Amino acid sequence: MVFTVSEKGLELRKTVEEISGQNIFQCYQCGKCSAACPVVDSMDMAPNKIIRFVQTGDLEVLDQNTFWVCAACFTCSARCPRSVDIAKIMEALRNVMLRNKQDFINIYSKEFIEKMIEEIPQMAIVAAIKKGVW
Amino acid sequence: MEYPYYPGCTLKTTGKKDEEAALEVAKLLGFELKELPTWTCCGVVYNLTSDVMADHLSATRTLIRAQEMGRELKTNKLVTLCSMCYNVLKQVNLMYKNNPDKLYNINLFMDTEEDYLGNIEILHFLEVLYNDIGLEKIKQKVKTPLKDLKVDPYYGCMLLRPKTIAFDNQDNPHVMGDILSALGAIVIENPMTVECCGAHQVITNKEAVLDCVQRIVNISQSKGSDVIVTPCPLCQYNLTTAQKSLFQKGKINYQTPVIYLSELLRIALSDNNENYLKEYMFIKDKLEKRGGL
Amino acid sequence: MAEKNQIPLVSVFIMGKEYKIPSGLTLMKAMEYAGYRYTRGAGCRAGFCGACATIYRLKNDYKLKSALACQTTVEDGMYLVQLPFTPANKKKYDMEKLNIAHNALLKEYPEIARCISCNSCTKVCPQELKVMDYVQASLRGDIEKAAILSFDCVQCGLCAFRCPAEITQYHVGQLARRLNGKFVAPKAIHTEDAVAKVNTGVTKKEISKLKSLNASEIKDLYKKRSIE
Repeated sequence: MVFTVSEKGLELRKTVEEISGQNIFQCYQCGKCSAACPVVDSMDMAPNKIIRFVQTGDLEVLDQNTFWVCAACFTCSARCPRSVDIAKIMEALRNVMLRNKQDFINIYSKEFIEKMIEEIPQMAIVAAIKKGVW
Repeated sequence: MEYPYYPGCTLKTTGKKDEEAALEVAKLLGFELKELPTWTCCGVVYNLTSDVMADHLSATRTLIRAQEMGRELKTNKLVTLCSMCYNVLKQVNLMYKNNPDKLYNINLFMDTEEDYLGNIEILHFLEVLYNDIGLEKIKQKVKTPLKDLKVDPYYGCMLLRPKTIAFDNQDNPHVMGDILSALGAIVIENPMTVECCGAHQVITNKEAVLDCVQRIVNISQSKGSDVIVTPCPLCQYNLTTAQKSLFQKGKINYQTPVIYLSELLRIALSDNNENYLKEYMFIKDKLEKRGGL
Repeated sequence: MAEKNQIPLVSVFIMGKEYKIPSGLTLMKAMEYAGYRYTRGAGCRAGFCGACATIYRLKNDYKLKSALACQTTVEDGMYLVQLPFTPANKKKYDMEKLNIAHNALLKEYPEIARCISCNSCTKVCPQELKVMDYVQASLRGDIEKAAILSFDCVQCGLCAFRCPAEITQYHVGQLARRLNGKFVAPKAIHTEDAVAKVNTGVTKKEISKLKSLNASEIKDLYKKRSIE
């Protein structure tokens, strides 16, 4: 089977590899990351599939919620038999979006302000903002 | 023994109980946690990209504060109570050890501060208890053994992952369990002990947190735990509030109390624990059942 | 003219154009000496209002420095521009509806969670406030500390210009001081007492007497006042 990867797809793959410092082709699609992921149920696309899409330079990968849902718990990275730091790849994908001025959350939106109920620890707010706003 | 101590923002607000208890436990065990005179937020989440340095500034500034205080106290240690602070500070510190050029650059940028030399050692409160104080000493100091109390030590992610910063076995941690056993409690083995609670997704994707917590609590409850013990203020918040929602939705039958390890330590170690027990009647009931407090 | 020539002249670049300015003038006077006219941004000319925030560099120095134009004198080789206005995000809030929960400030200005502790704000502050420290205090919900640390702020807006996290520090500090005044600081009982006293009408007679005086009589009275 022959893949043709678009110019933009190649660029995306290169950017993800640069930002994450990971060799994306280390992944051999065993799926352990997806099996271990505690929040995989809320994801549009499982983590291993995300990596496959980056390998093949499929730009659809950027429309998925997967990397925004990622809680950066490092379980995937701990489980990977090929030592791919998947958490770093998710961070790279977040950064591709954020650096393209596409924030995940609008901190001035009503929904966001409403979430800031009195008991919520600041660490949750800061973490969400650090991950979802450029 | 005095340790420089970095609280972090949450321990000053929603996690206040943890700090109060830990400071007292330290005193009871014969050491002191000395808060850094000034400190900034640690950044909460470690920036995982290879090219963004700005997000490491907060942690680095804290490391410099620790370096200053360490000179005074003649130590290179910095103790944290919060798991996320521990994780971020230790990862940033490690990043500098592996990339001296990055440390050089950041020192150049922070031209109003003294240079960070990269020598600070980040410790979690648990490590101090386990390694520096030791189980034997803790055992000796117990005033009210927590006999018959079934505890489920819940670590969460940030103390044990990534592997480079873990102070305990990554998949099968024992430090917290050992400390709780030393207090006389019955420690339950929960395979979900290193599972994520959903962390900051509580802001953007609360459903995911409910799922995570349900899995953790289901096993904990099926093993008959009386209380879930955690060292992390975000885990404490997520586990407590998610259980409330799950209970209202009928997805769990009852709510297991989630308390900080430091609070249990304080109950077991202090001479007069009446006040602390007032808040946790279920522990008092349990302890009274076996005859006399 | 002869007198003027005795004062040494220095080279100052205002928005890129070189002017010879007598040394010893303030930046604001230098601008006027060079022919600029202030319609906005002159303010109090006494270092209190923060209207004349200015940034400059010195020759062979990489540092971007900052000052209030009315408080700083010219130096040779200065490159400067005065910032006429800070586009800043100022929230509208109802003080009656606010509280001092730990995230009270975060709720109004969630961008403070973006602070990366780069310290740019502290470095730029012409009042030499510890701006980063009060932003951090705000983040951790320490309203009292934020209010105390930001107390001498003149709202010039330089911090907001430099902030990579796009925080408007001076508005955050202002809210902290307002919350501190309303909820934390002890009530000014003597002021309340004085207001109550005024309301009873005891001062009416004295005021009407003052009103009936002419200007020179008032001056006389002022000169004769008792001074502590």
